[in-house]
Amino acid sequence: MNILEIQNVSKTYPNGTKALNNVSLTISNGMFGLLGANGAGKSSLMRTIATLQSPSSGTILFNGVNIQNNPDALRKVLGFLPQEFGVYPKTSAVELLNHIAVMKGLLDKDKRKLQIESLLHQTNLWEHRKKHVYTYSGGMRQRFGIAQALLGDPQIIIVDEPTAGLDPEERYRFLNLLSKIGENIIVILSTHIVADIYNLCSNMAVLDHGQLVVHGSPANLVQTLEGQIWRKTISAEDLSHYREKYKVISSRLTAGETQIHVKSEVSPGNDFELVSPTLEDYYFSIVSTSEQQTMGVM
Amino acid sequence: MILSLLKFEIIYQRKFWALPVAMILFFLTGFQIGGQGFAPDMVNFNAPYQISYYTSVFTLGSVFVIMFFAINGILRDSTYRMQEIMFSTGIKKHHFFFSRFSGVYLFSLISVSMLLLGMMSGSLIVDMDPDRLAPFSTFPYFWNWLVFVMPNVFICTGFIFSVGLLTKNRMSIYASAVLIYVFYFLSSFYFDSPILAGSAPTHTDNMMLAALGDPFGISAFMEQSQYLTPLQKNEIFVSLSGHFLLNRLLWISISLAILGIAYRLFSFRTLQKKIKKTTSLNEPLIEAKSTNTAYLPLTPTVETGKAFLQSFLSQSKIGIKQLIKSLPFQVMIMLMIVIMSSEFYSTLVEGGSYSESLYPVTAILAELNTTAIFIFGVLLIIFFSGEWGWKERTENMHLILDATPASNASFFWSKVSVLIVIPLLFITLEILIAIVFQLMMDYQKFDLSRYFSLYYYQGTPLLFYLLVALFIQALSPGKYLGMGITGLVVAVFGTPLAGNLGLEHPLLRIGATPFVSFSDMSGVSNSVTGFHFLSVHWLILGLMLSLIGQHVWRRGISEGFFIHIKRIFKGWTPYRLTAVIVLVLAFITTSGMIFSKTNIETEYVSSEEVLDRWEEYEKQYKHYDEEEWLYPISIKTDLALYPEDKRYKVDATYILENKSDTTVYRALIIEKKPITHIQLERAMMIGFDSTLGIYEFQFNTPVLPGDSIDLTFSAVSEGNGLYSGNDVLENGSYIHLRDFSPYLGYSESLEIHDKTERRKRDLPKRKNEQPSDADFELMESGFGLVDFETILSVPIKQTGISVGNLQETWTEKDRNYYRYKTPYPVSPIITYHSADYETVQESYKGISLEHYFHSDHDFNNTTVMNSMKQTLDYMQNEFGPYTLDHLRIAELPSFWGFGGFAAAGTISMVEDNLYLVDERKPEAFELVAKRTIHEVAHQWWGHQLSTQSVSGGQIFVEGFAKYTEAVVMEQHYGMPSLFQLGKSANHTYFTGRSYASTSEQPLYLEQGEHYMLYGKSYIVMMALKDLIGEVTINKVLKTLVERHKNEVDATVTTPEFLTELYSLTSKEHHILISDWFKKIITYDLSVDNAFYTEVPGEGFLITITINASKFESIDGMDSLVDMNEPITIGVYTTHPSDAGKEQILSLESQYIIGGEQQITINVDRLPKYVSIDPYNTRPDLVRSDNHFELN
Repeated sequence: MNILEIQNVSKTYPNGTKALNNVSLTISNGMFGLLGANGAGKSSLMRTIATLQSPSSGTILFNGVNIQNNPDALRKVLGFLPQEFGVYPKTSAVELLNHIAVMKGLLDKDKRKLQIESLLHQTNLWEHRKKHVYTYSGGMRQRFGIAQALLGDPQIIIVDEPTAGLDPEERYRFLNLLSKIGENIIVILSTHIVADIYNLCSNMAVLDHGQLVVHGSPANLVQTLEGQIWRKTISAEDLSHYREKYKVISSRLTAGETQIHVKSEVSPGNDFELVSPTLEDYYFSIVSTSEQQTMGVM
Repeated sequence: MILSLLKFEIIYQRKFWALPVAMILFFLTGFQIGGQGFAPDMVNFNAPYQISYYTSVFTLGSVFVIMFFAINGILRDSTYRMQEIMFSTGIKKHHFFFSRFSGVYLFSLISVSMLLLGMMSGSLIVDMDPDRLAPFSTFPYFWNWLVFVMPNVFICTGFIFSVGLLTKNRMSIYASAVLIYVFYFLSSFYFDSPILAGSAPTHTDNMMLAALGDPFGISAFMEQSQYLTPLQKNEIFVSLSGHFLLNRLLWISISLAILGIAYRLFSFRTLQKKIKKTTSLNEPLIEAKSTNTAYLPLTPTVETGKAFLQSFLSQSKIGIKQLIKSLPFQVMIMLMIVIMSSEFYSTLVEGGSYSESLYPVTAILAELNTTAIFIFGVLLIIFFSGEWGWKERTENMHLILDATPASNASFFWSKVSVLIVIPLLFITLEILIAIVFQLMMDYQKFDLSRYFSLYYYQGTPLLFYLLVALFIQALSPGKYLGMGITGLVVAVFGTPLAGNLGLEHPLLRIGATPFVSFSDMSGVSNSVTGFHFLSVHWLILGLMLSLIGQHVWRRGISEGFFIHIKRIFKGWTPYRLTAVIVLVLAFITTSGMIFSKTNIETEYVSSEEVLDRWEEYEKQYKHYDEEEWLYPISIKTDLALYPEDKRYKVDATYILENKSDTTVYRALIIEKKPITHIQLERAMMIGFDSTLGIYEFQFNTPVLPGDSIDLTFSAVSEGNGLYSGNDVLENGSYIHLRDFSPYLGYSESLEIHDKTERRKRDLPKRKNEQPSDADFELMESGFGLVDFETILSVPIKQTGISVGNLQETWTEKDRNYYRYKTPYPVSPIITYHSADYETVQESYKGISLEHYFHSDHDFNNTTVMNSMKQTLDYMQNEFGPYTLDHLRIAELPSFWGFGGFAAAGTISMVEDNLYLVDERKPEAFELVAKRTIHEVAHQWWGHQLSTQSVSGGQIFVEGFAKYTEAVVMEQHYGMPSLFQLGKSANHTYFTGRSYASTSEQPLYLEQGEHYMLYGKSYIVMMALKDLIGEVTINKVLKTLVERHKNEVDATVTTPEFLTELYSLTSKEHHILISDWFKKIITYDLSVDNAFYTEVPGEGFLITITINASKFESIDGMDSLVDMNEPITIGVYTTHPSDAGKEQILSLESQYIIGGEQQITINVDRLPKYVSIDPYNTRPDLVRSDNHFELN
């Protein structure tokens, strides 16, 4: 069992931005989802865990080892896929994977070759393995990123927006692969797609403005809203009116009509229909309101 | 639209820190130049010439700012990924193009212009010698701004901008910048251009090419001004005419053309295509076949050593592959091949001052490209350390790689190994090209160990700077800043700039190592000791910095600069810390060793202290100047040479005589090499100044006129310290008597000469005596001939040679002893030689001709021997017998720069100026013969007819020896050799006078200036020969020889020579002879037109239009004077430079008057060339118009 303990981690950038504010979290084997708006601090947290930047204060322990003092303890078992990355020009996927594998300490040539081939198959890049990664399309490059993250025997995989740019099938395949691998190791996943987290993650956390707003199991979190989410289809011009009157947590356009979700412990009135809450509802209910307290629900 | 874009451009670039920084740097540079108070002698500090010189040279620096602004102006869209937005807006192509171009141009121009503002401020603010400052005027600055700064910045911007725009690639921009330097570099081969000064002698034939080929116009300016006299340099502005104008127009047109091409080729679409290309690989939907392959984890190794090695290798492999694949790098390698080949070619093939070729001996080839490799190596290292140090970041791949467990060390050292490829490749290419040259020139002795040593000698300085560069990049917050700092470090410590900044001590000149030169005869120069010490020392520092660099190597997201810096002090593993401590200790040790070598083994004196000492000397001892000296009449030495220790010691006994008519009471003796013991007969030492090495003696009984006394002393020369000279070498030692023989009396030559320095130290102005006829009245007796005897001992394998008859030799304790003694008094110019020589000996008319040379250097032995005989024959025939029973020639290593040196009966010749001269081509000029004739002729000119150090005195030595070259060569090698001798003399004269440090004198008052002796005196003697004939001249010379040959103290003067000349020549010639000897006369002769008509039965009638003018120079300015004198007109069937007897149709004197005139000449065969004064008997600046090709 791997345990990642994040203790009171804060990160302030030289320009004064507080990217992380006293975040504490313990993560163990399984898929862990990170939710948050752009700039909420997800990437900062993931990069801090990946030893790519050091926290301004606080400590992170991986299996009891302080990774700031001993980054290699983590790097040796890390698979990391950054949100954005580039590659050396004029270098093929096989060459690059081989290179990264060596850098990760996979020195046995035959075994390394075997793993790379298998990863190329799994990420469906086999046909393109000899092409320059520089010329890959966005989706292919993303799959390449996944392949490299899985090199070695990672005990902790950090993937930042891994499914961005993937088509639905690829996304499905990738998440499947992750969840299989994630049974015995820690996988930290950040995404915009709330449903993915609900489906895959045993645990999750929500970051907002650098602060940990909530963490827990998605199902439990969603459950706290049972019986409180109401839906209504309204006309677009009425939206502001509803916003004033009710606690509208989300609005979306479906088939040209505006559908709103309202949080209320009692029925907000006519024409509102009680729906069973989703993780999305939960997410919006906590970040769109001004309630900024941390809720720990397990 | 353009205007508003330009405005945006300005606002945008203004925010960028580079502009103010560049402005300040250029201003400070200008200020430093303007206020440094340096100019060639007699040229004002703010002379138009000086301003042009500095302005043109420092516009070289504009390339850096232009590169910077160009990268910023062109690449910012892609760097910040703005291109899609940028190019989808309504901006038209020409808007974009012109606004960006003007932005880059304007900003570069503003930056570089600050140079001139700085120069103006410097000359106004700094206190300098007012005698050397012309009244301030802005015009010269403005003019130079107009002809250099504006066009140069435009030319460079046009080129760099276009390349940048078309390639959108930073490396290509660097490459284009380097390419511009390459053009400059190649052009500067042909001129003594600064920065690469003296890299090759001047090739007049290629001047036009060079003048046009230099994009900065520096070579064209040098060409235009090369013959300006100092006074003209104060007056004359660089003029937009001739090659300079052509150069400016040519390069501006090239730049416009390139910009035009760039404008046409460049389009937004090409950019978008490029962007699209990255997305073009849209994958066809593939059936997910093997998706169910199980995930196979693979455990990483735990062996850190092996992991380091492998990740180091993998990164190096990728890096080197990328480097070698990159087009800009390939272009630079190609350029380097061109540069190195042209350096080899221009030195080996007809590259000498007499257009001689050299044998491609490895030792010659090995050092030729050291400077080029250093300069271009450092440039590339600066660029690539930035590029490569930040590669992963630039490609945005660092987050993936930095999160791997690969160690910092593997990152850092793989960068090192990528950069090392640059020097390795350069040196390997150099060696391969050199071998190709050797093969092509049919020379098969490849000295492989010497070639391999180049990796050490040329590679080490670059290795150090590349470690420093990466260390700086590891700490620097940005790559450009890092590149800038590295550039600054190299410039401040590794270039001659260090001296200007007061960094003199070897320990302060970080990374600087002495230049090591090679000789086939002697191996490496003695500077190699310093090189070993310093290269080890700096490599230790480099390793230390590397450890720090790898320790703070950036992983992941960059931290603030100060947080980053703090990491230097944190997180050291004990193992690494130990390594650093060991290195620090090693560094301290080598520092100590170097300090001890420099300051303890030898005395370390900074240049400031040297000046202090000589100031002290002058103040303390000047009063001795008025006292009479004692002069040696007999010198006995016992010199023991220990080449393996670079050491010699000498015991000497002089007999000194009071040659004056006053009594001498005191004596002042100033040592040159440390004196260990000194004793002066009948005298008591009353003072000893150990700092200056000055001994003061008081005679117990004064030395009366005619009295003589003994001086005995012992001196040692220890080859200690980092830089011992090249006089004592393991093979090929060469010592002069004057090296260790102390000054006897106060010597003015030791005083501080620099006027500003004297003013600063409140020393009185030195009397600057104008040479005049009065000089001949005041001749002081002094160093006359001496009886000389020596014992010379050398190691068993070597032969020792000195001056005199060899009396006896013996061997004792594994050393060879020689005793030489002169049969009669000789000039006190004494040399000592020792080397493992091969010998050729031949008896010729009772004289033993001996030739001592390094084995393998026998290429020209026959010529040397023949020339000795030919010269002896001519000289004995014309001027009386040779008086010694031997005549020796001995070889010296190539570290000596002179052509030859003649002591009595013993001549020194230099490896690459004689022995390695390649005369296999039949049309080659016979330089070996020329040099041999010259030195043998000195046995009369300088020895039989010796001279005092008096105005005009050197004519008897060098002037007559040059004359002998001509007459003997004409006899044996024909007219083409005269053509070459004349051409070289003319060039020597005009170049020399333009860099003269004192005002030019008429020949009979010459002060020993090189250009007078080897230029003017040759030309005048040849004119004289044409005028009065060889027989008459020889008669005059013989009279002088006979009259003076037995004098111990020479008395011959130029007035005496002229009187003899006048007495044997008709009156009508006297004016002309006076013109040549007693005035400064130059000519401008040309054949403007010529045509011939065939007269049946009588041959061809040629009508020649001649233009002639004659100038007298008074106070440095030329004025036209009347002319009516006989000048030779030649008619040839081939160019006069190649014409032997067969090709000369007519060679006769005709009276030529000033202005245009026509003359006719009859010849019997079809003429091809007409030439006025073909063999250069008149100093004539432009020689090419003297020859005319007939159609």
